[in-house]
Amino acid sequence: MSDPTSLLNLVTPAAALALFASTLPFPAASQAAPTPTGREIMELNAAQDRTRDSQVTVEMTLEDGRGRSRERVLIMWRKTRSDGTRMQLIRFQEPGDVEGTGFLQVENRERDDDLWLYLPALRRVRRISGTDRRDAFMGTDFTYEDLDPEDLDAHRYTWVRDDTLRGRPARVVEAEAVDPELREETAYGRRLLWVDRERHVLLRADLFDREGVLTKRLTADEIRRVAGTDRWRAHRLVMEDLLEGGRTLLRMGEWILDQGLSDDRFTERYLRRGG
Amino acid sequence: MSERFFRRIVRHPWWVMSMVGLATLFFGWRAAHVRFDNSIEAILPAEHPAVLQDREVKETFRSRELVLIGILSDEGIFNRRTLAKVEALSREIWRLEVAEDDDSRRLARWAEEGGATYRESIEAILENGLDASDRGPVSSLWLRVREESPDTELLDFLGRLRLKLAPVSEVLSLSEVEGITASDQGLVVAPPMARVPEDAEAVARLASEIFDNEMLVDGLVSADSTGTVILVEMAFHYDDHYDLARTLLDELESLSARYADPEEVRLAGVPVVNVHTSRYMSSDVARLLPLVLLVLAGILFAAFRWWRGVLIPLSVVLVALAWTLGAMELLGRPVTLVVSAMPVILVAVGVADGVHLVSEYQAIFARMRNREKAVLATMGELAGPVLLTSLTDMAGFGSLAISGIASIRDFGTFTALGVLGALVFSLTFVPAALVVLKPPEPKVSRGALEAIGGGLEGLGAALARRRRTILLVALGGAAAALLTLPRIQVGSSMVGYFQEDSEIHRASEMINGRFGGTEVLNIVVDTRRPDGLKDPVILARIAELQDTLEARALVGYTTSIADYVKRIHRVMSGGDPGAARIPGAATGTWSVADGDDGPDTGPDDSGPTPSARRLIAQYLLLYENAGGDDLGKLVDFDYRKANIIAQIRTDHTPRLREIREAAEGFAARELGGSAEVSFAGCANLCIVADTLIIPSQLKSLGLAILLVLGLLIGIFRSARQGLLGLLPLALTVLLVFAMLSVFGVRLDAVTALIASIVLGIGIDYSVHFISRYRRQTDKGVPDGEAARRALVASGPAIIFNSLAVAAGFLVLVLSSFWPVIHIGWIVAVTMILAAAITLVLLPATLPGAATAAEGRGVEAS
Repeated sequence: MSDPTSLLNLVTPAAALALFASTLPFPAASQAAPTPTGREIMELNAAQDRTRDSQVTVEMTLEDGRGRSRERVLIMWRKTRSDGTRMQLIRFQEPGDVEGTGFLQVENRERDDDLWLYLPALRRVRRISGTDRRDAFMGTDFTYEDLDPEDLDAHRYTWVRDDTLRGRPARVVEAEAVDPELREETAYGRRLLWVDRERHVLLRADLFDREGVLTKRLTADEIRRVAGTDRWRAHRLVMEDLLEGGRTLLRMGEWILDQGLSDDRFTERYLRRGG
Repeated sequence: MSERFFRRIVRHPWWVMSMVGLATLFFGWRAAHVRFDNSIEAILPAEHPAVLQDREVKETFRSRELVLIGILSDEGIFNRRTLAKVEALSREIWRLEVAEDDDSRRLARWAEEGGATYRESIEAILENGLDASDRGPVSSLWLRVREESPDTELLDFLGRLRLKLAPVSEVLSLSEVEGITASDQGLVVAPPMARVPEDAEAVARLASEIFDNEMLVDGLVSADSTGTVILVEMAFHYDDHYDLARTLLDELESLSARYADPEEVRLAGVPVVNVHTSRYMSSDVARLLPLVLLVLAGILFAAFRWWRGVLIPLSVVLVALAWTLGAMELLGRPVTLVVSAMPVILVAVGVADGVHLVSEYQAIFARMRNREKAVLATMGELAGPVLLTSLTDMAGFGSLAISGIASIRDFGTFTALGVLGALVFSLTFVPAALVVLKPPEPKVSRGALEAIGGGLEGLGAALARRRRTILLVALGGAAAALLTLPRIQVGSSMVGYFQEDSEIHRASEMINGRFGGTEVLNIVVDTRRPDGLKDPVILARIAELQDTLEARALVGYTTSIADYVKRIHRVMSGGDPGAARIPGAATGTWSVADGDDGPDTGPDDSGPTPSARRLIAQYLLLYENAGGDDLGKLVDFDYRKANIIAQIRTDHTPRLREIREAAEGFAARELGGSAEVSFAGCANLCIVADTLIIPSQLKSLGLAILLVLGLLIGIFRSARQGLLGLLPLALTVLLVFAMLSVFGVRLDAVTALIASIVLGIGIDYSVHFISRYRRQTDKGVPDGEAARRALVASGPAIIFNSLAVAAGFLVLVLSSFWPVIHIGWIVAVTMILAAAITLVLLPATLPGAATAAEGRGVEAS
């Protein structure tokens, strides 16, 4: 992302979720091969993320660790243009008082991302400014950074060991930011990523802050093949705040991949339609 | 008290002395560790509903006690130097830690004992010593231990160490607070001073931005721009880790001092007042107690002219003190401002036993010339009266144990315990010591005591002639005293307890003069349904409630979710100051005012929810999205309850109560059925403590009077004599309240003790007088003559005792605290009054009563 503080982050849940899918048709092939490098593992992981467009409905449950919860439902659309830049749109469905609220983010090659917000009660679209990537996304336990897609060139990936997680064989990869700008802005000193050896989807991420404390844990499960495709996608994501005790649960409905979304969907005009 | 008991003591004096001595050493050692705490939570009982609710509110809204650091400059704070200080000080506060050497040692020990498990992590932590850079590694280790081994001791230690390494959970200042601002791009949530302005132009721009934000003025910056404040929130509750709080405040003080000059940097806020109070309290005790002992030693020496006669009563007192403070420490009870008066009281009370024993022994030894026999005779004579007066003292103080105020309860319980300690010591160690010690020289004069005796002869004769007049004067005095009672004021102010030139008093005045105020009242509005706070009508009522409160001069600043909604509405309406309001409050709908985005499409009334409500919900979503987090202190997780924080410029409870009543009145009128309003915060606890004082005081005093009366009736086996014995004290207690009323001394948790102190100590005078009187009448001496002889026999001791107690209490006038000063002079004056009233009233009333009783007795037979 050209501007890490931009609101593209807002829309990237779709991208992040796509991380958990895999396109590799020959799972058994890696068995005999020597252990791939961290970078190779993450390239396989990134490959299954790559779709032209995607759409998914997300039920978001915020729990405060003291028995209280808040729920929101939103739909996310994402498209990658031919030049590689991304466009994303989030539209809230529930609760009723925020129904229709939308965020649109369009990534630009040479300048900051464009960010628009539509508040249906105002019936108008506003351009809005970016936020800190370490800020919480919508009051959840996810930060914008957590929802970014992996930027392979900005990190150094090191294979640590092999592991088995919930019955799935996994490679454990340590990710550390190397890009100077990212190093400045990231909340994380390092991340440990569990990547499914056969499906190449992310199964778990342990997030260590800059002081080396394991502060959060992301767990991805209910990983199923998207109907009619060879992609795997997680249908349940849990982000736990290990220090404070709260957690955020995301439940994904049906994934719709590569349906041929039009560029028109990612415009101010469409955003204002509110539907 | 059986003679066998004392024979054993007399036979094995060294054994008794070493046992008592050992016990005293043990308690004394514990007493040295007793904690001084004066938070309002130490004053209110932990199980009180208001305390429980306060805890819950603090949990729900993640709030802790606030320390306010005022940075003040008469030439204004908007210059680069001062602003740079704000930024640097804020940053340094975040990095404060209060780890101690002992923590490193304990950690190192764990590395050795725990084997290889945690050694590596611990060694990494201990490298370069424990400091703020170890926050992460210590938290890591804490998480690991929590997951891997439920070693609760290590886990507790690490949990506390985490707090020590990061004792500050929030710093709100111009460089740290979330400011909501308009920009050409829309909503920005960022500190007003993200970086220190580089030139005068940038400084001016910053100043105008800050004054354009209604949420910052009065809250963080004074309206006349002569001061800004840094709000520091502790990562823990003051009462859970009072010792950490104290160290943290020391650090904050020395840190602030480094940033002072030419600016003034001052600390205020409830935790600061608490710490100052504790500090002054311990220095008060350390300063005043030796002085009291010295004064008493002087008086004792004047009385006996025998140095052992000084040492024995003083040792009674010291032992009682050691045992009591030791017991408090063992039971985990803190010394509060109320309790800090106890040592002096124990000294005053405890010395009486010693005085009586020594003077009796002196007299008997002069006749018998045999130490063992003299001790046995002394104990035979005095064990009864010592026991009786101790019992009445214990009844007087012990009845405070039913008080609703925890610190008064502790005072009553532990003072009664101290009296018991003095009793045990007087009946064991003292006889043993008298056997061992060199006896008094036979020629020694009895000193001052004898001198008093002579004067009383004439008084007795005079009193006998004027009985009617005396009774009339007493009745008149009682009536006059009763008339003053309604004017007694109840109220306290922790800051007001300090002298005006004290640092805390001045810091509080300066900060209260410029900013919102150091005292916090939380007003919780519970809509009783999730998302209830998104209702524009409720929000508008909350805003009106804030306006109502802020109209009062003493309410400096209030903040709530309504301020955030107003601010966002203004920002989203192009910054128009007129738009700083709750949208659609009146109608439930609203219309778009600005038109930067094509033709106005008008209010949107479609959908199931009114449009203004939807707008508010969307604003809040927008705020959350922009990274806003501070709102979490003002609403609960599901937008059911709002927390209105009202900062108040005084901690004087009658004023606080008026403010709370104003809020209650508004809630009853305007919120009616739509929401429930409750209160929390230090201000509320102070108000609650106040309301407990009078009923508690009346109940305790009632109980004390009943107990004492019961004891007197039991002792004298006569209801009339019991009642008459109580009479002088009842009158004295009335006079105490009259003095409070006339001299405008407020009744608070500390001054409420005066009546009980006077009753507890003064009742001894009646006991002594009546028992002497009874001994005479039992011998067949006629009433009038018996009263005169009782006066002459008991008068010197009573007068001596009252002078000694008064002198002891007068020392308290040197205290740092107003209520303790008040206790000092009022008790001093009333003890002398009590002695005088007893010595005048009893000779006047007893004979008549006895005659009537005997008359009936004759008729019956």
